[in-house]
Amino acid sequence: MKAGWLAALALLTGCATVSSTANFLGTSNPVLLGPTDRVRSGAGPRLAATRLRGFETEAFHSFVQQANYGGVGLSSTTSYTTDLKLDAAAQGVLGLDRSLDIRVTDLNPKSRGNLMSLRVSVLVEGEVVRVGGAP
Amino acid sequence: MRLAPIAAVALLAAGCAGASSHVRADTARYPISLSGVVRDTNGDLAGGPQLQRVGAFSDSYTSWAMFWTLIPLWNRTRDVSEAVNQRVAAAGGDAVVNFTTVARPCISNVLTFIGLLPGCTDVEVSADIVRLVRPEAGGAASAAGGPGRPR
Repeated sequence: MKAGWLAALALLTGCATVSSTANFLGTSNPVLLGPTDRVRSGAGPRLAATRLRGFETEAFHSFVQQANYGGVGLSSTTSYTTDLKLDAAAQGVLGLDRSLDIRVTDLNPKSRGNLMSLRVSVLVEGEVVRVGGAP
Repeated sequence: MRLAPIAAVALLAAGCAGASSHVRADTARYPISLSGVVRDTNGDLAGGPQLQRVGAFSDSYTSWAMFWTLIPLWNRTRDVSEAVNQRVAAAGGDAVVNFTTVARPCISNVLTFIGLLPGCTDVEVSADIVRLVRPEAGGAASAAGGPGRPR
C-alpha cells in the first residue's frame, strides 16, 4: 500500500512537467488580444466592428491516476489537445471570410491537481466580429 | 466509525491545488495577434511575407492561489501591455503575432495535495515582433502561419 502511494507521488512529480499550449498559428485571420485592431493605428479610432457571436476554446492536458486494488498497481489516463484543435475551432467560426476577426476577451491559463489527478489548461474566450474598413 | 477519518482524508485529497490567472493587454498600442495575421493600416489582412520578423517578445510569471484555488494570492492578472509597448518600440516593429501561452503546474502542487495550502501555475508567453513590409499591398495575406515560427 505504501509502495502504491510512493509510486503515485513519483508519477505525479513527473506529471508536473506536463504543459498546455495555446496559440492559433494556423489560423488565417487575426485573433486579437488587447484594444488595438490594426497596424499603425496608434490611439486612433478602431475599425468599425459588428459582433457576430461568442467564441470559446481550450487547450488542456489532463492526467488521471487510478489504483487497481486487484494487485496490478496503478494505471493512468492521459488526454490532451494539440495545437490543431484551437486552429480548427477558430477556423470553424471564421471560415474563409476575410472580414472576420476574433477578439479575445479572456486568456486564462490555469492548473489544478491533487494526488491522483492533474489538469493544466489555457482557456480562450472571445467574440467573432465583422470588421469594416478604416475610418 | 473507522470510515470517518478515511472520508476526511479523501475529502481533503479531493481538493485541488493550483492557480488561475488572466493575461491581458488593455493598453497595448500595437496589435497583438494569437495567429500569424494582423490587419494593416487600411484594415486589410497582412501575414506571411508581408510581415518581417524584427524581434521576439517573452514574459513569464507564476500565479498563486490557496484554499482549493478559491483565494488568489499573486499574479491573478498579468497585463503585458507596457512590456509589449516598450519592446515593440525598441525593435522598430508594428505588431506582435504568434502570441503563445504555455501553462505548467508548479512542482509544489504535487506536495500540496491538500487544497488548503497554496498552489501555483507557471505561465510563459512568447511572440514574434514584426514589421509590416508592404502596407500598400494589403489583402494578400497568406492563408496560414506567420513569420519565423514553424509549426
